[in-house]
Amino acid sequence: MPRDNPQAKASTYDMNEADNPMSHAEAVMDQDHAFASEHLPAYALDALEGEEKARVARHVNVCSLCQKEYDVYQDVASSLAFAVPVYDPPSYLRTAIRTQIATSPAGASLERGESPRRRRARPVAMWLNGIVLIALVVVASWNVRLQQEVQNMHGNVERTFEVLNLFMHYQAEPDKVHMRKVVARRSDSNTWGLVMQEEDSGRLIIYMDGLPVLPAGRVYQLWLRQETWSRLNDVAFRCDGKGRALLEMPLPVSLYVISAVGLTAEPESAPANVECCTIVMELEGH
Amino acid sequence: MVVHRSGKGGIVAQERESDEQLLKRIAAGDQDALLALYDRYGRLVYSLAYQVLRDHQLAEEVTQDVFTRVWAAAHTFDPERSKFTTWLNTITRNRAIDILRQRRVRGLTGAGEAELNTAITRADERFLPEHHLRALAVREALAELPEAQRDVLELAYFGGLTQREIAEKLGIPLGTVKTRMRLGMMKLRDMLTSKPGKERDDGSDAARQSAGEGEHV
Repeated sequence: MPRDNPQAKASTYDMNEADNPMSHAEAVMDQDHAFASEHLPAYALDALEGEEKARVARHVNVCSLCQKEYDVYQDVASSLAFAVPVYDPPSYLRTAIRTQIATSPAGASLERGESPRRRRARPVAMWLNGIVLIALVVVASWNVRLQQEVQNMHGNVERTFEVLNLFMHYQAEPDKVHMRKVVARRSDSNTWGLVMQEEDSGRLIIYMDGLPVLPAGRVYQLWLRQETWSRLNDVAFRCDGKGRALLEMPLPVSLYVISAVGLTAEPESAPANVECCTIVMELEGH
Repeated sequence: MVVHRSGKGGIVAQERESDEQLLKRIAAGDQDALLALYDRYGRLVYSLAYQVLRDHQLAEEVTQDVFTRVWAAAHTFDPERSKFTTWLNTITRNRAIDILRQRRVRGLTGAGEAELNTAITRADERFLPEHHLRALAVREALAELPEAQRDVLELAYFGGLTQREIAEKLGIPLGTVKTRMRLGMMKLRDMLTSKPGKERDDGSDAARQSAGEGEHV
């Protein structure tokens, strides 16, 4: 096997072309092999970068010998994990993991293979900052109106301040509060909203605008779509006279597993037997 | 744990499921299997994440992410390709390093790097029972490495630094870092493949029994 002795092959490559039966492609492959062999230990430690890393990666993908060698070095590198001081994770972590897996089927991809951390680290687009500012104004303005309109409704003012607080929290620590815009799937609908989740508490807040005002006796029922639609039985609501609504609820799963928010218009007295949502708002970027 | 019961209902034998068996159950949607795997490896994952990040809250986040990923990707694990602990440690280390590098970019790194050199040579730590032999073998092998070689390995694996970044950090030529890293890894490879703990890692019941491990769910 030529790859058993890369140096011998390299000598062959130095010969005159007329004397050299090896093709150019083979020579390049051989040089790549020698390069990869030398750099595999560092590659296994994830210590290469740029073209060096890319060159080794390309070669490992096509060279079974280097693939095996890489597996061995990766095993060596991962062995370092056994040498670290041992710490006990907090007991509640097991419960948190149990809760999290209970809401997603095994074998399901994490949002097209993206990791939660990467999703959280996804750069916040400039437009989102603009929306945050606009939303701040909207919510602040709405807060003033709300205080005037619902002085007798316990909790609303406090809840609104919590939303404002969440916005400020988002601005101060964008990693701790996740926010996504939701827009109606139907192009002729003006309904849109913002969905926010505080990472530490899991608390979910949904602000919606442009909702059709329902006739008396009917309420909106909230649905969330993960793999399938789930009806949130405790979340029935009305929008205000301008089609706005603000909801708050605990959510035991990450916002990033939610792909859409749905609404059904149902009789206030008894839930309707519905199979599809009247309004579907997709989470942008999902 | 697989429990066999006699005809009268008494327990007559108990066998510990291998990692691969648990992964098959996980792939089939068995939540108890994932929790059993967590009971077996939660401390290893958490400790590695903490070693990299030096932050308990972030280590919790990484641990939760890792086991969620195992839940989602158990069916992709190929036992022919690597041991389960290699797969698990690689996922853990990569997740932790991702966070570390993000924090580094934002100037949020803690004291982790400064402590790296002493972290893995401390001798007074508790061992994971099921990895007792492995841990001993790795520590012994690391102790036999020249300090200069051990430093670059630690900076790369736990610090997430590339060869170029290590050279800048230590103020030495890039070629020197490359040489130290290659030699260090080659020596580690030679030593670990000749250590008894190497062959009795993870899936081995013998290793666990010899380490005095108790029953698991």
